Amino acid sequence: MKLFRILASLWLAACASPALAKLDAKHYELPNGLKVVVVERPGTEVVTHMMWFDVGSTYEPQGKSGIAHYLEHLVFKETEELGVNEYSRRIEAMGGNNNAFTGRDFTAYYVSIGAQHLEEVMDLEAERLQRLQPSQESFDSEKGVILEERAMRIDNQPVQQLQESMLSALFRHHQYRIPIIGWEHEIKALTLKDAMDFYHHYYQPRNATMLVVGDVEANEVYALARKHFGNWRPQPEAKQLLLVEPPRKGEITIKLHHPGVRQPQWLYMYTAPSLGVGDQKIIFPLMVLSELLGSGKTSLLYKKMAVEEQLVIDTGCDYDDFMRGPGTFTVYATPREGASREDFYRAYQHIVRNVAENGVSAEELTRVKNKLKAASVYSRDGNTAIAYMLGQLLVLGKDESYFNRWEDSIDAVGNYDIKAAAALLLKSDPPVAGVLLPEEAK
Amino acid sequence: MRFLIYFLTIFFSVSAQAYDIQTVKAGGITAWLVQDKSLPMVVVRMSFREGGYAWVKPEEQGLPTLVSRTLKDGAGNLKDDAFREQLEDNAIELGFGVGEDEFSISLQTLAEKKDIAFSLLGKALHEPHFEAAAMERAKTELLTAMEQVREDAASLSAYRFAEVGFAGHPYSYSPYGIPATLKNFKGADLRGFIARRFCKENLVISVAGDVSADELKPLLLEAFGALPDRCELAPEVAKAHLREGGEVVRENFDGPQTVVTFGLPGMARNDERFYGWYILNHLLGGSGLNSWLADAIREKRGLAYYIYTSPDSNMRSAQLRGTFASRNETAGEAIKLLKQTIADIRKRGISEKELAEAKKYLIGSFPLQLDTLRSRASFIQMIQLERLGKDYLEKRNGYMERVTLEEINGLVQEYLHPEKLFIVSVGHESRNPEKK
Repeated sequence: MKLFRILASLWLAACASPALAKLDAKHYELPNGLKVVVVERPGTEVVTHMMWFDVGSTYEPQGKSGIAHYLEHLVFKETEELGVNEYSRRIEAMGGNNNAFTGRDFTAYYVSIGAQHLEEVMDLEAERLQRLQPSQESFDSEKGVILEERAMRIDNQPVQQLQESMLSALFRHHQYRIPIIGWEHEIKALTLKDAMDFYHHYYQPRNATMLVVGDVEANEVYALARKHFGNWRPQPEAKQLLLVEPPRKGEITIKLHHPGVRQPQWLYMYTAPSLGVGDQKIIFPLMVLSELLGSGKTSLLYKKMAVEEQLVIDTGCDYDDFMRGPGTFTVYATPREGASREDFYRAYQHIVRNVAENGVSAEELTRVKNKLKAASVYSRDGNTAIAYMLGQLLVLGKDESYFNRWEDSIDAVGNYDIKAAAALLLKSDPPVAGVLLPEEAK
Repeated sequence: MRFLIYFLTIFFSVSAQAYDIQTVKAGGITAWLVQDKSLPMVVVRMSFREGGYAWVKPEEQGLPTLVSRTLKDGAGNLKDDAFREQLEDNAIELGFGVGEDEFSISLQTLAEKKDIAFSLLGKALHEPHFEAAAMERAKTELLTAMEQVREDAASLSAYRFAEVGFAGHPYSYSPYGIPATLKNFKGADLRGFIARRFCKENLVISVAGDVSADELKPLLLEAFGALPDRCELAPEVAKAHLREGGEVVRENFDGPQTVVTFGLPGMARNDERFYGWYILNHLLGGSGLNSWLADAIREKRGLAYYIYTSPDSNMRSAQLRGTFASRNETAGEAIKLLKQTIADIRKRGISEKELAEAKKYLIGSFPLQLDTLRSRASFIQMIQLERLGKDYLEKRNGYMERVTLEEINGLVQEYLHPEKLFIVSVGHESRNPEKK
């Protein structure tokens, strides 16, 4: 009886399962170049409306670091029609939540709200993205806020200070060398004119995608977009020249002694292929390898370094390929007292070399692939998360087909590919190493 | 970054049942279920009441957390890593955590793997190995975590708030334990904790996702059937009163920015006036840029990037709690503004317009709190833990709507006393020009 019930429930699950349904996103483009993408989720009664600009901190003029992020803050201030904080008050009055974020390659603004308010949201977004007019007073007070934000994210956290320095060493030429929030001294010198120049130059329909996920009808969304954004005047397309990072010879180690540190930490950063740069065929193998090597307590790194050798308290690695420029591969460790960093690095290389030569067992490979593939289900939970990820893909020149191929892409990774990915790690330029230490004894 | 890859799907089933809570009972275990077939996954939130880090004897500080860190390191016939590997192989996410009052468990599984998910959970709860090497590693992790609290101003500020604010009460215990107690724990101590604090009577379960009541019953029995019906009596935890007023508690931290955590005695969750209190908190320091504190400190003066408050209530205490960060040179001024803002509202009172706008937002935004399976499971769990009633989802907006201006202004007078603020300030003191 139990077997029957198990089989029956499996069968039912299979029949009822929408997990296998491919993503359906509808794509439009206005004559002025604004792209409109809609994912319909009927019956949810809520909607997430996002405006993505494929312009981020890498577009900043020299000496004006932080202006893209500063502008993001100012977009919440006065416009031709809206007074100070009027935008956020009106969103709140409709029971909506809103926020924004700036990345290296993009800037995005989003509102989550009851679907019945979509038109009013569009009206407000059109107003601030086309007719922004922040006052000098708003600009000045926001400078303090941004400096506090920088302090919170970076200057008050020794490990973040270290990583900021490491990124500048890893990318000594490419624009990724500059922190998104900006260098403190440059933030302080930014002017309202700098912000508005950036706004007028880059906030235009040719750089923008409207992404709407939720209880909407695609045709209606398109009609509303035409109505509220149809008159948005396009500028000649501004393509930022992304510098190419030259190869690096020689190792760099950055040591940060900080009085606030009690527990040392070790980091190694490499550049790696990304969706924008490098061998696209190695990306999924590298993703799977990264899971095998260093995600959690069953990983090769943890088993060897934390359990067997007892060199570290924790260790792992992280691969970021969602970039227009070079991606990054980072290995990190929290060492035990008395452990040698050279021993750790040698052991890490030994593990990778072993994988490059011998691959991994079928069980290990299957296990990691099962974990990765399930993300395709777990990550479908909610409008905003969906919009966030699809938006990132869109600004990187991809689309929903990347999602629809996700499980197949993972499945296609075999031992041969894992070996090739490991070989790539070994062939890579030397990493930038980072060491966080307590204050040196005087 | 990998786990942030999200995928899209179309909802074929209308979530008209989003608010339909079923009570599922099996063998002395009760779960609340919101069935939803739109995604082939199941999310479960579980808690053992009185299993939190405050509900132990002083010499047992850290024991619940140590248990939470070692339950997955081998269980049943799955030795060492084999247990975690089974979880991964089936893409099951199982987590254990500890708060002041509850020992909590979270489980996320594909619908097709729910049988094995509950089976593995049962193994962890009933047959954990607590093997020596794994315990040693977990102890080291906890000791390291304690050290690292001191490396981060925000963590340190929160930690000192509890340590000093509830001094002499178990709510001041270190969740990670202290070196003196941690090093002594052996497998028998961990088993003893489980035997005393895990039982059906104290177990609260909420489920959201692709599982029916009939399917859920055997799963509950598989995971929890072997638990005793009742728990041993927990150590007595008296009512806790947050320290009131007095000098700002200062802690040195080497960085350019000070993190301030503050609190006022507050209102219990089950007080019938709670909804007025909730609205009051929203006006004072709830979400967004328009709260009184955000307006005074961030918007008008640019002294902070974040400032927020929340109505924080536990089994034995209730307080309004808030936090912000400001550069060392301006933190003192921000504290003054905090007190001034509260004094101002005492004087002028809340207007009808403010109350109406707050209600509009809190009622209008409610669906956003239930937008995902995860948030739905968590919300239902909160309803159960706070004993708000199965019809809470339907009644909640009405409770908000019925708050009158007179009531909420009464709460202002009763609770918002700036001189009662308990304030912890973690920053580089020598750079702070104003010490008050």
